[in-house]
This record gives sequence, C-alpha cells and structure tokens, in this order.
Amino acid sequence: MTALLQVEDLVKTFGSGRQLMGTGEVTTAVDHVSFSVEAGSTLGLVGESGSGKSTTARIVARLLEADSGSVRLHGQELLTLRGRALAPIRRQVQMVFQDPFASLNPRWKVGTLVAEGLKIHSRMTRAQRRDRVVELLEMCGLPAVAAERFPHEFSGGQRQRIGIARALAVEPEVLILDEPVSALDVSIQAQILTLLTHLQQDLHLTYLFIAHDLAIVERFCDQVAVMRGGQIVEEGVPRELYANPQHEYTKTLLSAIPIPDPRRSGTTYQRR
Amino acid sequence: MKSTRRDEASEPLLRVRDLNVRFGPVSAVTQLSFDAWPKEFLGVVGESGSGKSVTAKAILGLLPENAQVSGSATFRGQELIGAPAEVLRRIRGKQIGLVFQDALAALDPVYTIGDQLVEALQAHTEISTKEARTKAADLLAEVGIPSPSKRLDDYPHQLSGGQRQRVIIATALIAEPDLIIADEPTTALDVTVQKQVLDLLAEVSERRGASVILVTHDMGVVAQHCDRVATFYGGLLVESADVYSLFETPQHPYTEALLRSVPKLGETTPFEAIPGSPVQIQGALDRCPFAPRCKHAAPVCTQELPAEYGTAEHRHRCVRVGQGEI
Repeated sequence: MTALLQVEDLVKTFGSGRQLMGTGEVTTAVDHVSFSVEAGSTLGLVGESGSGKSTTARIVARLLEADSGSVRLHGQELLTLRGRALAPIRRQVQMVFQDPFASLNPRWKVGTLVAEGLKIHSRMTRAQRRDRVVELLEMCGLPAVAAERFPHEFSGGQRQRIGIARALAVEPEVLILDEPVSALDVSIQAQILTLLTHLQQDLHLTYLFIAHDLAIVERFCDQVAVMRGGQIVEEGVPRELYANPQHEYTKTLLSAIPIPDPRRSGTTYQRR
Repeated sequence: MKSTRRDEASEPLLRVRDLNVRFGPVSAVTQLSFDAWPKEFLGVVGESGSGKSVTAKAILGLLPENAQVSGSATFRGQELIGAPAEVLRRIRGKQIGLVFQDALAALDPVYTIGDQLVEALQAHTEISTKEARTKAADLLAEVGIPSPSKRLDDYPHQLSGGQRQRVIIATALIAEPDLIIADEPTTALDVTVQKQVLDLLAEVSERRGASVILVTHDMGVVAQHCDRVATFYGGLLVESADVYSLFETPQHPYTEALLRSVPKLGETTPFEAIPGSPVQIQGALDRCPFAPRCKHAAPVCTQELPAEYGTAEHRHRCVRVGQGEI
C-alpha cells in the first residue's frame, strides 16, 4: 500500500501582527509536522488544546495557509494550488466539524444543506440531486423526510449525521474529522463512530481523525500521532503505543485518563 | 466504606425528598429523593438534559424564575426549597460552596484575583484588607497555585483555565463549607489539567472534612473519585448505589448500557451504542423515560412511573428488574 495523503515538514506560525515593529511575539502552532495516511485507513491526531492538531487539519483541508511544507494527495502537491485548480481538491478532501449545529446554516432545510456541494461540484439535475440527497441521508441513518426539515429539529447525534452526509455528497476520498463526537453524549458517540466505521468500509474512505480521547482513538484508528506544542512527539499503532509509551508526555497523558473502573486506580488521588 | 461513614453520622447533611422541577410543560426533574452524607463524595451522572445540573441549581435556589419547583431539600434541617433569597444567599458560599464549569464566567474580569478573594473573605469574616490578602495568598497556595502572592495582582484572563478553576475552588473554600457542589468542574479542561483539579478537590475536601456532590457526565471521573453514585435519566434518578456496586452489578438497564458504551483503554471491541436519543419529557412523567431506547422494554414500562426497588443502599427504578423479570 502507498500513502494516499502525505504531509511533510508543515510549519504554521501565528504572529501578533506587530512583527514589523519588532515587538510582536510569534507562536509556532505547527512545528515541522510530517505524517502519512494510507488509503482506506485512519490516522488519529491526538493532543490537548493548543497542541496544533486542529491547525494541522485545517491546513490539510486548505482552510488555512501554511508557512511552509508540503501536503500531497496521490502524490500531487495541494498547497501550491490556487483558484480553479483547487476545486477538485476541495471535492476530494472534505471536513466534518465538532459542532454540527454551528457548521450548518440554520435557515436552510437539511436537503439544501446536503445538496450544496453537489450544486458546486457536479452537473446533476434537480431531480438527480434530490435522489442523491435521499440516498446520502439514508446511508447516514436518517429518514428521507429529514430533507424537508430544519437542523434545529434534530438532536446532536442526528445533526452530526447530517454533517457527515453533507461531507460525503461530493464523493470525497479523504474525510477530516475534527473532534466529530466530542460534543455528543457517550451513548450517542458510539452511534456516530459505528456509522463512520461502516462508511469507511463501504466507501473505502481515508480518515484523519482529530481527537483528545485516547480510548476512542484506540478503537477507531489504525495509527495515532501524539501532538504537543505543534510537534508530533510520538507515533504508532495505538495499542502498541499505549502499552509502551516512549515519550514523557504520552505517559502523562495516558496516566491522566480517569479509568471507568473503581478498582483500577491509575495514579489518581483517591479519598477511599 | 460507606456504611462505616453512615454509622458515624446520624443525620444526612442534605436530604432531598420528592423534588420536582418543571419548566412550563417540560418535566426536568421528577420525584427525586436522595441523601448526601457527611464526608462523602457523591457523583451525580447522566447525559445532557438528564436533570443533573437542574437538580444542583434547584437545591441552591439558582434556577430562573420560570422554573416551578416543588418538594423538599433540607440542609442540616434547614429547608431550602422556597426559602427567602436572603437565607439562600447566606447558605450558599457559607455552608455550601459552589464550583461551576465555566470559571471565566464565575470570575469578574475587571477585578484582580486578589480583589475578588479579599471581597469574599471580608463578606464572611471581619478582617482587615491586609489580613485578608495574606489569607487569600494562603488559599491560593493551598490550591496549588505557584507564587501565590504575585498571582493576587493578576486578572482572571492572565491565568490558564486550570488555574482559574483552582481559584474558584479556593473561593468555594473560603467559608469552610460542609458541602461543595461542583457542576461539571472540569468539562472544559484538558485531561491532564482535569486530573490535577479533581485531585485537588478530593484533597481539600478530605482535609477539611467536607462532602462533595460532583455533577459529571464522565464515568471515568465517577469511578476514580466518588464513594456513591446517582444515575439520572430523563429527570429521574434511575439508580443509586456505592461506586463498586454500581459499576460491578448495575441494576437499571440504562446504567448497564451507559457503562457498556464508555470506551475503555485496552479494549478494542466494537463500540456499543445505545440506540435512539433522549427526548424532553412533555407533561408529567408517567412512564419509564428510558423505555423507548431500552432493549428490555415491555408494555408495563410505559404504563406507570416505575416505583423504587432494591435496598436503601442500592436503589433503582426499573419495574422489570424489580419484579424479577430480567
């Protein structure tokens, strides 16, 4: 297998806007990050707030410009593409956000929301689009009648299904999942992750999964990269990496997770 | 461990009986009864909309005016439900300390940390500003903030999220309360910071002999910190037990399904979801709120509000389990 998505030496800095005066401070959000994702597999990018994981995801999705580095899809460089040349890439790489409600226009019906990408990227007739929307909704576990309703009529989990259907409309190869279940209740998280697992198998999708929950990553991802301070500090197969973490930060992160078993204490202070 | 604690204590610290909260036609909390005992760490768990935060706010008289609250919640024999605002204000802060999720919202952005601690200290005891500043620095040191006397002159935005939550805990400790109610105190924090803040809460409450009611959605946090657990679903307390019994022999199908849906490190079995999603309870709750999502549901589950079954130590509200059908 070859890597479908290759990221090399990515750098992104944020300035305070006063560098010309020599007084501003520069924050390096992404600091020489490299990784690759094989076709049909899932790479988990984990870290705490400020680790640079979301910034990395946004650069790969071309929602943010990098300072330097390279992102290649099928060997083709994405970061230098501009204007019309960018359109096919926007189709191939789609993003699913944490808060589905914030990412959906509340005044549009679900059918319109899901069809938006089709209007831009395909030459379907209205009838064809309508059929495709129903197909997408059902694929994501929603009834066809959902197309006629508004986002606020749906629960958090259902809204995330809408967000996924919308991302899949243009038949992307890569989905960037930015904390897609973090805002959901635990019983609903499992529904969405199961859906994503099935979709990956059926559609041979490649996932870049941004997360902070290491237990979810262990079950969901083939590879995991641990980020801190803009750098990848450790990378590997989740189960092996968790069993034998090499980097101090990975150890700290793992020991901080509260274990949902009162008889296994980890190192947490307990009153009992 | 809990039974020995109870033997020492003749009376519960907080006694809630038949508490109901409605917002217009929506039932948020139904027929809620529980006790919080001295020196215990009680976890209140449930998903969003389950009524756990509403319960905490109802006890403290912090619900908006459109909430209709009935029933009883007594703290050391003093009735809180319907008590005059003056009485509630005295109890809040003085006898019951509060820690909320959003520390930035709880701190005034235009006053320094020192100003806010000094004001709170002087509201409770008659001490000079100089003495209060010394005491404030001691409190910051107790909650593990480095160079505390320097931090007194910082504004809230100059501290990290974890440090702000430490300041809130310091504020909650000022009046040496017997009970600390912490509503999702670490939900907005990273996991390494969460651990520090929860360890701190456990440490200071133990040192001061205070009870803690911890409202959370995180079963890991419950397993690691709580002595006893109350599980909420649809505004109903569906199960309460000591932490070992709840995790090892859950009685209510919701608790069981919830525990199975929590991903655990070291397990790579498929995710186990609970089908469907919670719905708001319109009108009076007259059935099991979990029935639409429950694989054990039978007609009886939707015909009446499930009664309480089990023992005083391990109660639940599942008719079918209670009648030995499953």
